[in-house]
Amino acid sequence: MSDDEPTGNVIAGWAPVTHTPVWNPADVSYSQGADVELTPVGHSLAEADEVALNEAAHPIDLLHEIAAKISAKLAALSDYSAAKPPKVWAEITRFHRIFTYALKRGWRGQARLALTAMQQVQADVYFQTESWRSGMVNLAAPQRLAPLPEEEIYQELLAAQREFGEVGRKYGEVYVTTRDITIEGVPLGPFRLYIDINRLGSSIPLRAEALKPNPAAGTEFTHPHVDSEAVCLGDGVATINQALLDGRFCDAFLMINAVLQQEGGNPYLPIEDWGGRHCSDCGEPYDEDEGCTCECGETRCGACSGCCERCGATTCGECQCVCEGCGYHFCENCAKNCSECGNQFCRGCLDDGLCQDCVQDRAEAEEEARAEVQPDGVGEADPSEGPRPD
Amino acid sequence: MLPATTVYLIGSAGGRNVQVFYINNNGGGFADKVDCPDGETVGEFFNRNMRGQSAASFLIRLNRAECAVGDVMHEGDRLSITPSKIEGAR
Repeated sequence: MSDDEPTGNVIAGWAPVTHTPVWNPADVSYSQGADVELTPVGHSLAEADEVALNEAAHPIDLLHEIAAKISAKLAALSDYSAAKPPKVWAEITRFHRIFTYALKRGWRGQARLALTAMQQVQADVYFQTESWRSGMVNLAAPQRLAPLPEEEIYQELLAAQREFGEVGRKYGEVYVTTRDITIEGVPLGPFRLYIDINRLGSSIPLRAEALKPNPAAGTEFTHPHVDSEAVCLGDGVATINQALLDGRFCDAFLMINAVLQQEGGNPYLPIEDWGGRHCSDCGEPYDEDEGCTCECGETRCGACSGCCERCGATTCGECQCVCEGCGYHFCENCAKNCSECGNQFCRGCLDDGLCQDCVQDRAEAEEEARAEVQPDGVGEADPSEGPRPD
Repeated sequence: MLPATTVYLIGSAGGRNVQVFYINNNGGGFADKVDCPDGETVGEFFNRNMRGQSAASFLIRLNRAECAVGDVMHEGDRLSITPSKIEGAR
């Protein structure tokens, strides 16, 4: 249900115990110096029931638990002593000791095992040091405020519950669910926004799961700014990160929701290409009348389709055969395999089922065989002897 | 009709200031305690701090709840301004 078109019985200015919103400034026609007109936002009975159900399904204890966990994590991030260098170097030197000890004893197998373990640690070096560095960057941020206390974070979660209808927890992630998102008339469905509490501080630990995905044709993009559940936050990245580090989760969720409300900026895929067809080969969009359908049933763009030189049939990249002899494209029906080397050729390049190379190879082989049988001219017919009697 | 600046002067006629916690989630972001004239409304505060912007493009929340532009701010209030649309990237 959209805000503009409430359904059911509307209770203007309805405000349950934990719900104070009466007016929505986003719906207010307002400009500097102009008379202000306010429009009350009504809550339908159905919406009221939904909120009540979510509150029942998510007891206050759950929000307290989440708030406590977030508070503990943010406190750890704010602790200067927490920005200690990673222990990765100590692990590498430990494996080096094992390696030298093993070699001294002649245990080459053990030495190789130590090297393998060292390689795994080596792969983590970048991530651990980067996490360490970004932790220090956060501590030195110019406008850094002390993270909100646990009770304030709880209030933030309550506010998020009012805004989104539910706040839940799944393993270490806290989530909210957006309303149905529609961009330029394309329905993309609601998204569930997850923030991993354990990964706070290193980067924005966010993923957006499409609950009713409407991916672009031929692709897996569920939103112009979402690729494999990763949201590219663009202009919002700094403020969202700051909100998360401050513990302002409601603000953070609202801003992530604001990113999902439009396709502006630099999207993975423009929304105007959403409903069209996309080539399954190159991924580029194409008009319906430009598509070419192969005998296998696949339709691709003109650039990724071919035409058989012999019969003129349309072929996709997978069904297309390139003659090894002349280099022209043929369909599977018009191409044949050389009976000797097995490569594909057009019929014109095959001579009695053999390609030119194999014909030549066979001729040379026959010649050599003949030369081996009669190396010194032995057995050659003497013209003076005349024909041999049977 | 009075211009916005005049509205601000009327709001501060008493000369007393109150301190509110102001969170601006627009652009690079800003969060700090600021002084504002006693009796100033949310709309006046918005006009003063977000010049040239339309309130319809923002979600304005007072003490974590949606509010009206005519709501008066009090000492210790918490006002957050969040854009309703932010440009993403790839």
